[in-house]
Amino acid sequence: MQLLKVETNGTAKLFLLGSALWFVLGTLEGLVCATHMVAPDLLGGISWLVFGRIRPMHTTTMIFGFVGSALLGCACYIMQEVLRTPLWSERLGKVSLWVWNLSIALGLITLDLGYSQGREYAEWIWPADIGILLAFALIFVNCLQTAINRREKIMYVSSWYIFAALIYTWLIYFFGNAVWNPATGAIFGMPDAILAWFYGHGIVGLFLTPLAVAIAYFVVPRVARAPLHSHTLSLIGFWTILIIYTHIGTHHLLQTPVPTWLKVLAVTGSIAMIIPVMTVLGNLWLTMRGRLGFFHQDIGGRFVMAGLLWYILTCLQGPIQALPVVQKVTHLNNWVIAHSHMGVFGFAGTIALGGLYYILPRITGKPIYSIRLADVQYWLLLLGMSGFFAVLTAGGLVQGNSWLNGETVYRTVPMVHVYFIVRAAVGLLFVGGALIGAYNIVRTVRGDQAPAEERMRLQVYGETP
Amino acid sequence: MNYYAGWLFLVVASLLVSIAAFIWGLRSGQFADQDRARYLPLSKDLLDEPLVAAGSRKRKTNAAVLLLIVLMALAAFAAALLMSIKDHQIG
Repeated sequence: MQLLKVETNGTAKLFLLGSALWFVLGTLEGLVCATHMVAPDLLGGISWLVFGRIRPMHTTTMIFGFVGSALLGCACYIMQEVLRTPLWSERLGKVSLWVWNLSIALGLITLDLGYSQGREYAEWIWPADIGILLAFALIFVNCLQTAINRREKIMYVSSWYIFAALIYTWLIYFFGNAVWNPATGAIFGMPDAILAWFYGHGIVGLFLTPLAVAIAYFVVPRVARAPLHSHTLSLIGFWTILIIYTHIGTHHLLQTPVPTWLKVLAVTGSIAMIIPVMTVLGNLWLTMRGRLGFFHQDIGGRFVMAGLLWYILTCLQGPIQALPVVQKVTHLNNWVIAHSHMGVFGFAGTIALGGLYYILPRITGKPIYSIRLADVQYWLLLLGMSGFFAVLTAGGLVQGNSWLNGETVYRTVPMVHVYFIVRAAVGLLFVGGALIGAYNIVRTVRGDQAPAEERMRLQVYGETP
Repeated sequence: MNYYAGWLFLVVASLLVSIAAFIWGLRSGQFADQDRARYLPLSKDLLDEPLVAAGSRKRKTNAAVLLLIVLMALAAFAAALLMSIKDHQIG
């Protein structure tokens, strides 16, 4: 059967291709949301285009479809490389790939038809949840069997992170979506809010973060052509993130009647996150030091480097805004939207793209279709992310300051309207970047080569490498 | 306390998984030869790939843009902190 065709690295390749296509859809959905903020009546009340449906479609497409698919594709490849063993079953990999993508499609279509669990990032209905859980379980079995059959005795830190992501995401997805309660996907009252934010924060911190860090730990030494500075330090970071990250989601609920002990746990945990973050960044920086020229040249390395920069900023911002006194200014306004874009796209998405551009040529055995197009995509997305951060942060501070001074929500809307216009304009950079990326990646998977770059390659190397 | 049973179960389950993995790692010698582990992402196929560093102009442009992003973000964080402190003093 063609869909389940067994080919070396076929699973990783199709996950990466799927990611590029979901990225286009995700950014288009984001643009529709941004348009709603500028001109709410522009699209006329078409039910399947209303903000309440498109917004969760946008967030879940980006988290699971774009970033998630790219991270899982890279993970399938990295496991084989660091364990020196082929993927246990490419056929099982393909099954998990189709279950994953069909579940995403089902979740999005039903959301667009108005079926939602109504909890942030957990909006997909029960059948889609079961599909996602099944896909994670299948990928886990495949990776576990690969690890059991490994030829390399020592598990490199990337494989530890990949396993942690698969296990923890399964757990938080199961509980966060209250899968035992198919009718609502929720429990009730304050405990539901706690569970929901345990999940909401965990999906970034225990799904996207470990997989993105796994990619960085793989790509950075390879681009630098140097061993990792310290494997021991990397493992210290790994174990501390597991201990700390699992219980800090309640920092989203500091202004609510959550028990104080839980708030204290969340705030202290958020500040303590500086430890694992600094071990990752310090370790990778010491590996890159003196070799940055290679990262500026390699498109995959450049994306990863930019992603790590966003990681520093995200993790610096996180503890600051977890302080209750700061949250009075920054919470429940566009500041948080800037932070979530920086975490999901700036950090995890950019590293996922770095992994994609680094790994794809090694899977296909041919260079990227056009490095120039990838370069254009890099700048569009970097500019887009910076613009997004600037405009949403500024708008958020305007909102926060106004509310602290007693302004009503109604009166703050005209104040932030100009920021929403700029936000929609910047969104076009994301859409452009996604379209260029999808074209480039589809052509790369087909084995094509841009004529001008092929000529240049022939001149430099004498043959197509 | 029953209200938090699901959440607590999740925290305990996560902790147990971590402890089990750590014990397995310890017993199977995963933390023994850490120096060799540093080299694991590198492989022989890298030797066949050309090693090219970016030119000075490209490096400087890229680094300057990344530095600007950092400065922009730090300014934003400082603004939020100042507003919070000001509000706290007034409050």
